[in-house]
Amino acid sequence: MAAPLLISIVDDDASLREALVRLVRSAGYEARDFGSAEHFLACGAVETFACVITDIQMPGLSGLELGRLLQQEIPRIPVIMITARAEPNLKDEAHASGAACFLRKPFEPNALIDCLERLIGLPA
Amino acid sequence: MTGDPEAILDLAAESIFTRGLDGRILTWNKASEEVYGWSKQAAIGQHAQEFLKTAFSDPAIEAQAQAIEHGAWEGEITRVTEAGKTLHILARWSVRCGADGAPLDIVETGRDVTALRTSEAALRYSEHRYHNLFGAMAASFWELDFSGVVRMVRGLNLPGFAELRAHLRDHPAFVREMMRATRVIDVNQHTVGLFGAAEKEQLLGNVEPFWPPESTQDYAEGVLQAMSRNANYTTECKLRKADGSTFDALFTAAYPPQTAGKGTVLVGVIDITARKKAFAKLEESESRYRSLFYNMPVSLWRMDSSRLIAVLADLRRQGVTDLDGYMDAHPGFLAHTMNCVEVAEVNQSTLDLFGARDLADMKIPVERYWKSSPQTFRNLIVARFRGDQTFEEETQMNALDGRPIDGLFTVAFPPALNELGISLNAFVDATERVRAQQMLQRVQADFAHASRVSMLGELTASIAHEVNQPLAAIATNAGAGMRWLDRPVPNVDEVRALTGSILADARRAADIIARVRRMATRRDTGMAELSVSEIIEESLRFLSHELQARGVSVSLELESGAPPVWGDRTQLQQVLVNLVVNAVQSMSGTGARRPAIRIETALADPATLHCCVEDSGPGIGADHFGRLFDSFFTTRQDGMGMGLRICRSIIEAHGGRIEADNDARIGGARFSFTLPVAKDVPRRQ
Repeated sequence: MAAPLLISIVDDDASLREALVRLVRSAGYEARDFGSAEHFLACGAVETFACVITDIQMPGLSGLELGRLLQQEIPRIPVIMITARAEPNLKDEAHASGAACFLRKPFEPNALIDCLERLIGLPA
Repeated sequence: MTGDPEAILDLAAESIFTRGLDGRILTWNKASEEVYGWSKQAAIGQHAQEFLKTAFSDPAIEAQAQAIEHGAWEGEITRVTEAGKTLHILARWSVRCGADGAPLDIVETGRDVTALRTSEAALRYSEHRYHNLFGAMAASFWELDFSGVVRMVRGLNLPGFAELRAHLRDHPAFVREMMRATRVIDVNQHTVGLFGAAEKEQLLGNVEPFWPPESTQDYAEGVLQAMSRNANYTTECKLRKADGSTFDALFTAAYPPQTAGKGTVLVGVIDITARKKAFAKLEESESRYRSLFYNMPVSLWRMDSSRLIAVLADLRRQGVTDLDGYMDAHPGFLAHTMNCVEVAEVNQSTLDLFGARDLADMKIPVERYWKSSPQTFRNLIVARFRGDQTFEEETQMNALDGRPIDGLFTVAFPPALNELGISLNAFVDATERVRAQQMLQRVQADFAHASRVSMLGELTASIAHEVNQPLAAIATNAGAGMRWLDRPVPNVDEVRALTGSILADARRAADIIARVRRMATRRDTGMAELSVSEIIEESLRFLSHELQARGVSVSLELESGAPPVWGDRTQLQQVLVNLVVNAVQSMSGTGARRPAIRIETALADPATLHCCVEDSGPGIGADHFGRLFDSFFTTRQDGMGMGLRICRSIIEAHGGRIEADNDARIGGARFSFTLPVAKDVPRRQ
């Protein structure tokens, strides 16, 4: 049996972060959460993740910057970006920064799971 | 007597006598008999000075007179007549010498100037009077020879005084002729100055040049008074100076009966231009008062209170000292006093306000104006009785149709007006003022509200973000919960944990909504003891998203253990949010500098908390300092310019001060405000 697919969840809002971890787990994936992009990048095991779900607006490195970095360094890891911001051009910006999926908060939980399944397949 | 060399002297109008070197009288003419009352027989041989009781006004003059041997002397002396009357004599003594040059005798020519001196004294008296009245005004004195005029009048051969008056009125040219016949004998030095003459001699002609045409009848009246043997004539008229200009003069002529026959007139002229001007000013101020009174946009009343004053004085005579007590004991007295006051005059505002067409409408019993508030009139009477000079009360008066009018009633009864039985009332209609104040408050509240809403508009993104955060968490948790429940074996423990999170996030969302609602809705201030540090932290939390989005770093240096302030949480949050938003906006687009905000609190003194919000932006432009806190001042295109204005209103309403400078430690603008600590603020129950 293959190891469960590991999802990285990056968000500065603790309660949403925890909720995302629970949601992802409820769908059968494994997840680790980080309070900032810097924390994630510093974890030393970036390449072990199958997918990254990141908030766009964060102190320090933003989700967009994280997406661009991953696109450049480890393009095989797909990035899902979520945001509470309403700017219409943010979606294009997100895709330009390597987002495979873009969701505005609050989002349908199933939409996120659909996204995950589409990008990395069903959990083992 | 023919051939008597002395006989010719009898024709002279003046007293002429000679005395020998031993002082005894040698000759005595007819005029001397008339002046001194002594006959020639009685006088001849008498020692002149003893016989006539000669006296000198001072010893120096007497000494001069004793040195007569050396030539001539002239001076004024007093003598006593046969009848015992004291005369002022202007005497001229000259020594007559024989062919060998040795003195023979002394000739004295004397003129009786008693009447002149008396009238001069009268003039001086009147001068003194006017002096007192009109301040320092030196008088100009003229000695005139009126005999030519007397001759002209006699030459008219008119039957009586009335005919003379009519003639002079109808023949101004004749009056001018009389002026030319009035010779100037002498004037004093002040006259030279007053009439603008280069020297005295310039004035020693006739008086015609000094009487401008408009004063011809004043002169004529002077002539009439002289003819009717009045002792004095005084009038105010225009006189003319040497340069042709005219001035206002108080003209006084004295016709001493003693000199009437001789036609000598003494005239005093006082320049009253200044007094005339003062009168003109008075009239002007009177008319200004009238126009003020009538046109003031305040209801003004002039009341005739003379009867009231008499009634109150009467009470005082009866020994009443406590008018309040007296009124309690005499319930009818108040109505009686109202009947003692009458409306004398009101202005247009009063007519408009009280619904009257004219003054006549207003002249109704005063009690009808006080139907709603008779107590005010009572208080007024008591104040007046007590001797107060003013009275003021917020009250209601009744219009002619009985409708009550709210206003401020003010009365002044200073002693000067009291003596005239006048009091001045003013009634400032409060309806308009109250309405204006209410409108102003409404407008201010609207502005404050608009500013809050506009600020919220600017912050919608922040709010949406903040609310979305817990909403997203709730939805995510719910989604996860559903999945756990959908499993063949539902994981109840997981669902319980998720539901707990959902509740917590729902509460968090509700808190945010409540906070936004508090800021967006108008409500009365809720004063409480507050921690400024808490308010700062709350405000920053509210703005955290905005600050983050713009990469603004925030540093706090908050006084630990600072005492609480007494204030309204929402309003103070509004101040902080406003100041921080301003700081953020001032730094946007300034590129190079790393945007930063620093907030500091400190105790300025034990009773005052000081808080400042600094930024690292470009600072406040020098030309903006004066207007920063004005309404509608903004440097932003879409700004309403109410933010700082409202900050100031709020801080000042809290008893603090707010100011701005460019002394930020981090390089930009600094907004500082103070708040009194709670223990110093009186608590509201």
